[in-house]
Amino acid sequence: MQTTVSPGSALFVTLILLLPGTAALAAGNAPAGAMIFEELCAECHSTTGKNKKGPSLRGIVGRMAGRAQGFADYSDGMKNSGLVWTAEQLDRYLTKPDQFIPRVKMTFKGLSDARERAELIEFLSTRK
Amino acid sequence: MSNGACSCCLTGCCIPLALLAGMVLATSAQAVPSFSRQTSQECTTCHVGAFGPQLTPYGIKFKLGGYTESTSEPGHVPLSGMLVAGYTHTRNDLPQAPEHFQTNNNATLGEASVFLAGRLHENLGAFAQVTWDGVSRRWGMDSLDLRYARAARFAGEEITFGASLNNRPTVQDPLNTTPVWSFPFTTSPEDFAPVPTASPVIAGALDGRVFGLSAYLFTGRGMYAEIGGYRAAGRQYLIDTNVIPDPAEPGRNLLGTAPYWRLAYIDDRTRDMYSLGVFGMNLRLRDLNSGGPGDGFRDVGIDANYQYLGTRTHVFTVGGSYIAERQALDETLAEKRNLKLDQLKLTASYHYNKTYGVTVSRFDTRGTPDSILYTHGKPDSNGWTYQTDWTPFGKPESWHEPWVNLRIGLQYTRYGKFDGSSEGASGNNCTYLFIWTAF
Repeated sequence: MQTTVSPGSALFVTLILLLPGTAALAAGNAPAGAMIFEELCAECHSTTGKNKKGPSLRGIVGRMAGRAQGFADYSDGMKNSGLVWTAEQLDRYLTKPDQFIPRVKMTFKGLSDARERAELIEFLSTRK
Repeated sequence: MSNGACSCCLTGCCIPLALLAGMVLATSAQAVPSFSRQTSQECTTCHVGAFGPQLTPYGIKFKLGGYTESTSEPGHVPLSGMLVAGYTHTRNDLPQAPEHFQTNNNATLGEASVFLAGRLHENLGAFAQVTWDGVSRRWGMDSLDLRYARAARFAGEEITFGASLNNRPTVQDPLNTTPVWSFPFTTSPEDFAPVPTASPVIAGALDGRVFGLSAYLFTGRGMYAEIGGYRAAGRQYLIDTNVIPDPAEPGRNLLGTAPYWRLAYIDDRTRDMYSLGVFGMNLRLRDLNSGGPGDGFRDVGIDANYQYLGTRTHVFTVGGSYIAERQALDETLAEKRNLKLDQLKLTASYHYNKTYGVTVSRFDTRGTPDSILYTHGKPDSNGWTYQTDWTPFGKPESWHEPWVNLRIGLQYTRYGKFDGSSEGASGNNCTYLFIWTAF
């Protein structure tokens, strides 16, 4: 018996079968920290100086917390923290933001992988 | 808008409600740049493919937050505009040319819309659309979703709760698997390309003819619950807004209050997301010129959705819904009938670099055969819709972002069965080239 498959069926099935391979497709050759930034941070932050829902992260390393130029929507906890964003402080913050600074407005739950945090911070340190 | 029409039509028994509604309700969905201006977020933050209406998790939260998220900068004007122009070719010519047009190969400005869209007050936001239909050449009230929303902490968990006043069941839904916002997001005007007649009532037949009020809750753990009810809009309102173009034939509308309910679980895992849900509505429809008991409908749907977002360079989505409708036709036919009508929609898409998109969708409607109710004895229709599109703007680096937005697409709909018949179904196959802009 001859079985025929319509072009529509073939394309539909192909698209679904491609799903598990998307992570590999997304990897590309970009620096790992930049990739992590695009995946986890870029919805709310830029590294160009433009403030979005969150402040721009250009020049974040070495900056006083709660002091991004032109950004006013900080929580009181962030504004009054007195922190300076060193690589170590960023690492602690990114691990569990709401535990490091209680009542922080950022809803990001945290990045548990230490290697990914290091790569992200390394990328941010290049955005001056 | 889906290929929706009244579920109990044909053979002159009743008037196809969605076709009436379609005279004024746009077939396109919305991409609204005033939201982008209000939030300082690019279109691509809230929408898959950098153009509405397919929502990412961020867009879902923005909608459930009542369209009120805003930067601290004052002076955002919650107004936007939209134009959709297209060219339609069907395999067979239409039996009769629409007024001002030909029996085939029609090009027109299909829709021109003005939106009041954005934050109106601290907790109050709106998505209200008035549309000029380029085929009927009439203005009409299109989608309305007026929201009040607040956020609170309960047992350490952030909860968003609110209410929606709207005019189309599921227009208030945050997922693109329920009827109003499911693919295809724009279609050829129905006057240029016939669509299957039978469809569950919840999938379009009430659009613009009702008002609904619902309350909802969205927890930080992703549970979404909504409950509300719909009632028929006033006859004079429907005439004034061109939903009823001919007062002598007002069609059908709700009898009493129709309860609507929705439950969903939405898991935003940042790199990807998925959702699972159920929704439903119980209603009675009665001809506005009759004092009869009306017909009863119970619609229950399940839906699921997966999005792989990653770095937004390669974005995959797959999702769909299955709606089961049980009908108790007490009025339409002389002899009471209990019928079934089920509709399946499955859609998969891939977008590259927030610019190039390919979408494939399967639709399949099946129901109880009835030789009196349906022209070919069955309501069954099925087929495929394919679309490829190009969206050059809506990204952080885009020219005059977020004021300039454009999508150019080519869509092809192929029918295996149309209104109960395989024979001649392909004559309705439709090619639609569209240019869609929002500002």
